[in-house]
Parts: sequence; structure tokens; C-alpha cells
Amino acid sequence: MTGLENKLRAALRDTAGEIPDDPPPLWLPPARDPARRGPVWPGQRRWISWAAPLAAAALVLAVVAASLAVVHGGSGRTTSKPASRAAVPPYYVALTAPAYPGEYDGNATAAEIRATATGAVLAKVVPPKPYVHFAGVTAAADHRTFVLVAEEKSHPPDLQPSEGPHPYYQPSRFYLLRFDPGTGRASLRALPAAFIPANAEVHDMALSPDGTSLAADIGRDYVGSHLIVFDLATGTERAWSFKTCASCHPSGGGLGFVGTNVDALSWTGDGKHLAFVGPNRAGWPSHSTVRLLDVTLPGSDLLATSRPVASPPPEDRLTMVMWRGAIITPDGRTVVIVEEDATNSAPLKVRDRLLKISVATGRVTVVNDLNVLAGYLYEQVMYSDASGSVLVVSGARKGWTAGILRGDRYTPIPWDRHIATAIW
Amino acid sequence: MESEEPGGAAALSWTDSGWPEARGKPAADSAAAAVAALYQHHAVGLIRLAYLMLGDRAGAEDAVQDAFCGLYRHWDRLADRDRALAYVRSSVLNGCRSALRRRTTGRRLLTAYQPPTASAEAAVLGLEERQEVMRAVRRLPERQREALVLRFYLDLPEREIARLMGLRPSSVRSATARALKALGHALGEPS
Repeated sequence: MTGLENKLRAALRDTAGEIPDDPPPLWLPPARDPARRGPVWPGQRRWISWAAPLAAAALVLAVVAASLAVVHGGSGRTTSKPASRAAVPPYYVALTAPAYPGEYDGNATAAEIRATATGAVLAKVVPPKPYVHFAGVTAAADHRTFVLVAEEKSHPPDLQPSEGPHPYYQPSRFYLLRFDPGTGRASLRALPAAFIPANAEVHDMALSPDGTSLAADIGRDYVGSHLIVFDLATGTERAWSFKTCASCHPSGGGLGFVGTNVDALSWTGDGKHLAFVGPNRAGWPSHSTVRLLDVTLPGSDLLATSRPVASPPPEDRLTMVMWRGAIITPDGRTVVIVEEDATNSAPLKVRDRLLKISVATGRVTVVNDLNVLAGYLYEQVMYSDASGSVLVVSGARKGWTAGILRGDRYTPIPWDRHIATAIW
Repeated sequence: MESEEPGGAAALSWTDSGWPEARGKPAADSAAAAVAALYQHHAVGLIRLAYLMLGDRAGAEDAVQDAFCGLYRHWDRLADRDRALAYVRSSVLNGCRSALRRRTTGRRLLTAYQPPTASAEAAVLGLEERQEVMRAVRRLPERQREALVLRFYLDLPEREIARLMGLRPSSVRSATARALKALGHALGEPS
């Protein structure tokens, strides 16, 4: 137990002690007739009465094709590229918030197409009503086609609406964003509302390199246990799932990382394989493992149709090893990992590293030490060239930073604190 | 071990798991009695848990109240009543998350939150330090704060924390480690 942990424990205990030992009386509803919907006890809101028309209104609004006022910034033409940035696409989409206060909380109010070289805003889109912020973004390989997930303002009911203790999620919807570098214009098109069911959240997503398929982990818990691939041309979908633990709460396993990260799901360049993070064998829980799903194979069992390609080292008593981001390079040969190592005993030391692991052998081939004190920010891998030799990473240096990592050479790019996440 | 419903109607016995069972009562009555007994034994702890998450006593009491109402409503559908405490604890955490989301964004939390203080303790030298720790805790992202409270206040094992938070154990470890790192940084503690 470290001094910090002792101090924390004492502060929590003392603060909790401010609550007296005699709780207020419990109010239970007088009858438990499911036909009676009216809330009758203190504290309960009439969420059911307004949720139904709201949901209906959202549905109607969602059917209307959205077109946005696009705020143009600059000429729309990218600037000439310095040699050090030559291998990186000239522009990217950044999710931004006007007063981004700390850790990304999913409240980005705009998506901006920015020039890699200068950081200049080439075009900007805001969420179509009734949506108020963007929670995630993913890109096709043409660097002109993107998918955003937009969310409505949160209006959680006092009581959880589902049968289990699931958190509330506001309605959300996918949007296809296209950028025309010739005109500098960006346009949004709503994807089918049915892609995201009510009271569910998009955890992670990845657009296929050709922009025709969207893979997503959508669920009602923090992390799900299934994966869906939508065909954007036909609107059809195919789903895979796994369940390794009958009593696991709430959905029997984990998939991906928490938060709509840009480095949790990734496609190989041929659009046939999808890398995700899941259990390394049927006996979950165990170490998280990067698995490769062959979407051309029949079947819906996520474990049976995928194979592990990279696993963390066994834990020891001295160090905790966490993987917080994983993408497969488009050539399918390498997995790029953001790893966090923390000491298990005092003094606490945390080290962030970027690993490249061979898909063929499962062995680490390259290690880049990142900033040892990156603060709260999660480092992200936002772009990889075909082989992973050129990456764009954020948070690899102190503060609000991003840069191009070419081997050991790090070249910072213009970045600012309003950017929550970005994708090339 | 015997326990009484606040109204004194039901005779209760306790199972090995600590869960009270009502005997010889209609379903609704036994449900109310069981939920009330659970409340009687765990409400204070749960309110304290919610208080640490929210920094607001009234909000904490509401979150616990709502969780028990939810438990009562879903009692018939609760598959594993031995897990009722875990269920209600999870509901309390969800209620806290919802309450925090209602407070717009983290920006407001950063500026509006004042750690709760008891006036009688105001002269205590350690109060300032405790406030500083609690301010730093409150600045943490929601998930990291939950992980810290569950581990360092409730002393729950990592597996149980993972279950409550709906995360993988490795994610709990990650959240805890990052929270401690951030906390140390905020408090100027050597890491």
C-alpha cells in the first residue's frame, strides 16, 4: 500500500463517514401491477410518458435525409506537403469540442476536416438535429469517406428503463461524411436509423477500406460480445457473437476497448479480415487478445471464425500490462499495440509503449517508448500506412500533441486541445 | 439471523449468501419485505458509495432509493436473488452515472464541485488535505473514479469490480492504474 493509496483510502472513508448511520425511509410503490405505469413514489420521473413520443419524433426525424450547412474554412485545397509528412494523407477528420475539458467524454460538437500539414480547418460539419454531438469517427482508405456516429442530448430517466441494471444511452445514428478536396465541401448523409437500436451505444467501429462495409460493436453495456458488419450499399447486416460465461454480467464477455476509439477495430486492406480485441480462448475471462475475424467465412460464432494473432505477455507480480489500443496494418502482417505497463507495488510507475507484433509469429518486433507521464490522455494510433512503418499517434508526448512516427523518428504535427480524436 | 421489515410484518430468515428470505407471505408482500430488509442492512453503505461518486447527499439518497424501487419492480424477474445486492449496487452506480450525465459535462464538475465537509471537522488539520484528495478524485473521469471508489472504499476484489462496471478485469486494472497516476500527478505525489 503506497502513501497515496493510504491517503486516498482515508479520504474516501472520512468523506463517506459524513453520511449518518440512519438512512431515510424506503419508499416503495404501493402495488406492483405492471399495467400501472404512473410513477407514484418520490424521485421517479415520468420518463415513460415522454419517452414514447420522443422516440417516435426521433424516428420520424431520423427518416428524413439529413443535409447540413457546411461551414467552409479555407480554400478547400490542401497545402503542399513537407517531405516528412509525404506518406501521410493530406487531411483528416477531427472530432472537436469548443471547451474540451479533460478526458474525452464523447461530447464533440463538430467534425472538422483539417490539413495534416498546417492543421487548418478545410470544412466543418455539425450534428444534424436532433443530434447534438459526435461520439466517434472512422475512415475509408480513400481518405475522403468517413462515418460518424451522432448522439442526441442525454435525457436519462431516473429509473433504468431495461430489465437489468443497464445504463441509459441516448439515441444515436450513423452518418456518412464525404469530403471533396476539389471544392472543399463536405456533406453528410444519414445511414439507416435501424443500424443502432434504441437504448444502445456504439462502442467501437471501423469502416472498410473501400468504404462499403461498416463494422461496429453496438450494445447496451460498456462492452459488448458481438460484432455487426453493415453493408452500406444494401443496408443489410451480418452479426457475430460469443458468450463464454453463462453467469458473466452483463453480457458474458468483453469486446474491444471502452469508448468509441479509433484504434479498437480495424480492417486489413483487402476488406476480408477484421481485427478486434476479445478473449484468447473460450474460458473468458483471461488476457485480452487481438483476434482476426475472416468475414468471408460462414458462421456467426465470433470465436470460431476468428483466430488469435497477438496476446499480452503473462502477468507477473511486479507489473500490470494493459493493452489500450490495437490496430492491424492494412497489409495484415503487423498488429500495432498501445501498451501500458504499471508497477504492481510502490512506487507506482507507469510506462506507455507502442509495440509492433508480427501476425505470423505473434512476437514483438518493434518497441517504441512513449511518454512516461502522458497525463490523463489515452494515446491513440490514428493512422497506419500499409506496413505500419508510418503511424500517426496522439498523446505520445506531454500535453495535447500528435505526430508522425516513422521508425523512432517523431515529427509533431499541428494539434490543439479542442481535438478529442481524429482519423486519417 | 433474524431481521424485521420496517413495518414489522414479515418473518425473514437469512440464506448463506446473506440474502433474506420471506416465509409464508404472498409474493408482493414477501418481495416488499425482502427489499426492505436489504435496504435496512445496506442502504447506508450504498448511500455512502453514491455520495463518494456524486458529492451530493440528496442525489446519493435518490440514487439508492431509485435502485431499490427498480429492484422491487423487477423482483419477479430477478433470476438470481443471491445476486440482489450486486444488482442493486450496480443500479446505484448506474444511477450515479445518469446523475453525472445530467450535470452537463465534466467541465461543470471541475468548477462546481465542492467536497462535502462536516462543520464539526472544519478545524481538523487533515481536512484540507482530504478536500484536496477528494477534489482530485472528483476530477477523474467517471470510470476511473468508480474503479477507485470500489477498490479503495468498498475493498472489492478486482473481479467483482469488473462485474459491477461491466468491464474486463484488465480494463479495471487499467482504469485504476491511470486513476492513481493522475491522482498522484494532481496531488504532487511522486510516482
